Amino acid sequence: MIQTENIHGVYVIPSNESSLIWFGVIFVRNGPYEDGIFRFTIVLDENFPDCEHPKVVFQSEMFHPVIDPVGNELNLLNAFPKWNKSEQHLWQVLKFIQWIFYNVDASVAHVVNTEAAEMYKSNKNAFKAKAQEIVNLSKDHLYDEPPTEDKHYIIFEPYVPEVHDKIRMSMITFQEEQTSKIGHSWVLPGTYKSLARPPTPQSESES
Amino acid sequence: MEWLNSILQPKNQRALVNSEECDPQACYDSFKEHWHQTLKIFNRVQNLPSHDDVLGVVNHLEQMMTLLLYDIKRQDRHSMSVASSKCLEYLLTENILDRIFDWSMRAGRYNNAVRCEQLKMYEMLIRQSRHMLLIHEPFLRPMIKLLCSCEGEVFSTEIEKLLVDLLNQLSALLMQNIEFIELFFREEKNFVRFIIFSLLIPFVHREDSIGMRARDALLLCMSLSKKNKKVAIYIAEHSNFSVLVASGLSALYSVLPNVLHDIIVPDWHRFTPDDVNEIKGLLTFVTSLEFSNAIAQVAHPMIRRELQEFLYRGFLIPVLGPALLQTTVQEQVAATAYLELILRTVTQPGLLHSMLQFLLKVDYDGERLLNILIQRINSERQLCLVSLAVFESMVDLDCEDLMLELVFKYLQPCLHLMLSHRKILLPLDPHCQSFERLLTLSPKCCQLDDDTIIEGNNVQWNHFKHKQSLYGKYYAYLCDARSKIGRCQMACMTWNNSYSGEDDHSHNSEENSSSLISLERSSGYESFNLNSEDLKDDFEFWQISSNNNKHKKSNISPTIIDDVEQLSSSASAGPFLVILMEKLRNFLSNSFYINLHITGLISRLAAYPQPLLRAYLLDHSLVLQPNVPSLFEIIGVLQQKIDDYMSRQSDCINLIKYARDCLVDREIMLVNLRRYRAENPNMRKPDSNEPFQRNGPKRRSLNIPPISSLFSRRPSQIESSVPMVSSPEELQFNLIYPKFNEGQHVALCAVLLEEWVKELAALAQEHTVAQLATLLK
Repeated sequence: MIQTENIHGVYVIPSNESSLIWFGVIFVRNGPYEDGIFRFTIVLDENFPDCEHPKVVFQSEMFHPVIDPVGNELNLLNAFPKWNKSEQHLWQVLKFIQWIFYNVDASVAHVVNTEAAEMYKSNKNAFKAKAQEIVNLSKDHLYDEPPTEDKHYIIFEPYVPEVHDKIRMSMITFQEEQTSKIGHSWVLPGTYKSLARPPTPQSESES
Repeated sequence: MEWLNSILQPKNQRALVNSEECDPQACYDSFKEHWHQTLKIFNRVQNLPSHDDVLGVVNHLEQMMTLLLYDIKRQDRHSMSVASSKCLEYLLTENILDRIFDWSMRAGRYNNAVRCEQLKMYEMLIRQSRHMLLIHEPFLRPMIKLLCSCEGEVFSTEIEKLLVDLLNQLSALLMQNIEFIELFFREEKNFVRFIIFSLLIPFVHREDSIGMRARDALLLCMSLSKKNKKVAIYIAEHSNFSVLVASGLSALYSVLPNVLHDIIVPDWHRFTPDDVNEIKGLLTFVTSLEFSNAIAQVAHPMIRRELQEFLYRGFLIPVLGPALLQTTVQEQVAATAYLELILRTVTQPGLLHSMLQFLLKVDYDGERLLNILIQRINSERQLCLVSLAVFESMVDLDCEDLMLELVFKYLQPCLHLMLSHRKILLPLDPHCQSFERLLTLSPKCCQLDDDTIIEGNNVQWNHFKHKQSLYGKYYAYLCDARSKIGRCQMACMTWNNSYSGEDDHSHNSEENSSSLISLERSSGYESFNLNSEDLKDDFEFWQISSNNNKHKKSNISPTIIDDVEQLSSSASAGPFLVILMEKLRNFLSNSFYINLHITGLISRLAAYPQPLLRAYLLDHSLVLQPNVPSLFEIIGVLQQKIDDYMSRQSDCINLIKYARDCLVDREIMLVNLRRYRAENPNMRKPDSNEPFQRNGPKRRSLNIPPISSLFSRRPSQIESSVPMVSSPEELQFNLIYPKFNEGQHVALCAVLLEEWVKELAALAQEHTVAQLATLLK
């Protein structure tokens, strides 16, 4: 289900040791936290899903209205006051994680870090600077030694052209191959009428 | 102008340019000196210079070019801007280019000689400095004047080449620096001019390398049109480009042979790359067509639309239509083959749309071309073959409109099915019994020579462990089926309808959908099966699943189609399928090659994932209306006829052996032919590798590589049927196309049927796998 939701930039994997602990990382592509690569861990209660909301803890120091500066825990209580197993799902938590980085404005409503929230409201520039600071911090620690020996811990390594170029090229060409064989259809949607649509999409007529 | 050639050899250039020792100051001085000498001649002879005068000027200019190039390259090497070249600076400040131009215009019959030098100079300077010089008046103005002076002139090949090279450079330059387009573009009240374009047009249909370069440059201009609307408007409205292209096509088509006289090989069904090269005029026609296709891909939509219109109204309807409707069979064969070639060449969607409109919508005496072509499948051998080839190409397009008109229009109402089966058209045949059923339809005579027997449902499929061929290897069929189905499925993702037997657009769908919800599969995650539109506002962003908004057609839920009144009276699978099936019924009287194509076409149709078609062809549990042809039934009848005949033959086992060897040898030969072609370039990309080779070699039997390379082992079995006295060519021909007697022919049918049944079974199996995969997603 998490896969089908296609939450861009967020990657998670259950740990090897326990399926109650998940490793995650989010690549932020826009907004004040652009270029940030933030690791987090999701901890599920033993009785999951019959319990309260899962715990999300960020690994490196964070500065965000919704993330507790002490302990780096994400405040989920506002978003998920109750955890009803038939309505609340893990993918929603991931979506929330994604959401807070792109919608700082709206996320202020879930504040646990008042300093961050205040700075955001009164001095956006300072906020942005601080956000960039933690972005850089996250990047500096990207290649650190893993804090755990768990086999599923997400490890990053620097790009080595000799090793990675080939794979990159094959990914690019694979993409091209996929798009090369496309079928055609000018059937009017909702009908069985052939050639009922114009030859080329209207959007292309704007250059 | 031979004397010019001797001067134009850049003998000194290379030596000078590579030498590091040349003192830049000396270079500059020399440059100035050459110019002074040139000026002397200009001043002495202001009009109509003599041969010697021009020789002198050309010489000096050549030297100046060499020095200039050297100086510029030197600047480049030292990472300095080109503009810091002293020679170049001198060139600009002394307005050298302008003066040369003025003098050249007064040089009478030696004008072109000087023009030559100028073109070379400009080309070299642009190549070295890219767009930097374009902002300098002393460079740009004379160049534009030079280009304008070339309009309407007829030149020698050398000058043409230089001109087109320069135009190519400029077009490429403009592509990357679109802002400079204004320099070459002149807009007056009623008059728009794009000099580069107008100079290239005359070369559009040329066959030689100049033509090729001109077309390249034109394509660049077309790409420019996408970036700059003025250019697009100019090309579309002020140049007669589209008309030229379309009328060019018509003209080129009209010189093509009306009848193809030299088709010798019996399995010729479409033009191969060799044919295109050999048949007079065909290469030019195809080049022009490919060019139009390329334009349609890169040009502004305005231009594209014009091209489509002119293709449709200027070529297809007035020229190709009547060609296809000629009265003699030979003429029809040629025209159909041309149509097939055009269909394969024109890939840009807009142009393809015009093709389809031509085939599907135009009325020729009350009949659509598509229907006329379908009927031709029933003709004699050659016309049948090329017609089948056209349909193979059509089916290969994965185009919903075509498939709708050929097949789905007739299958969709489900009238071909018995009433009870109209309720449920399961896309899944979970135990895939159809595939086993198919395998039992294999002719029993084929199992006689091996120790393989069909015991109940146990079939051995590795008959030929000792032969190095894919032939007989079922696994190869499975792989092939999987990739075909996968590709087809991917291509059909752009389609609008699912053709799953549900009435996608029934007005009852609202009523049905409410009852469907209870039938819909619902896991814990699907608790959001409420109307997402209403609830979007109440829910936060992270609570809304993107899956709810995806338009999914559930193939699982059955729909009740309530056109009970229309019963078996209008039951039909449509003319296309019916004619194919009828042709299949005549398997034993058809030529071997026709059978290859019929089976190939049906297999290709069977690769389509749409349940309506797949079930019709491959689901044996589907009960059809009595007069609707069934593949299982037809193959069953063929099996029986073949077995009957073969049981009456004393040397049945040898006949089967011979037939198998024939097929294997043919396959090996085609593979080797392919390899031979691959090792000799200038050939187009070969077709994808099929385990069961259907496409034959080219039209004529000449130019086939020596027999030893065709066959990896000596064709001992076939020799016996070849008369001893014959020319080498005849021998070659007879080895590749042996003539079969009746027994051999039936044996071939048996063996072909055996293989085909495996192919179909593999498709049935792989469909099941593919559907399971989709379900589990």
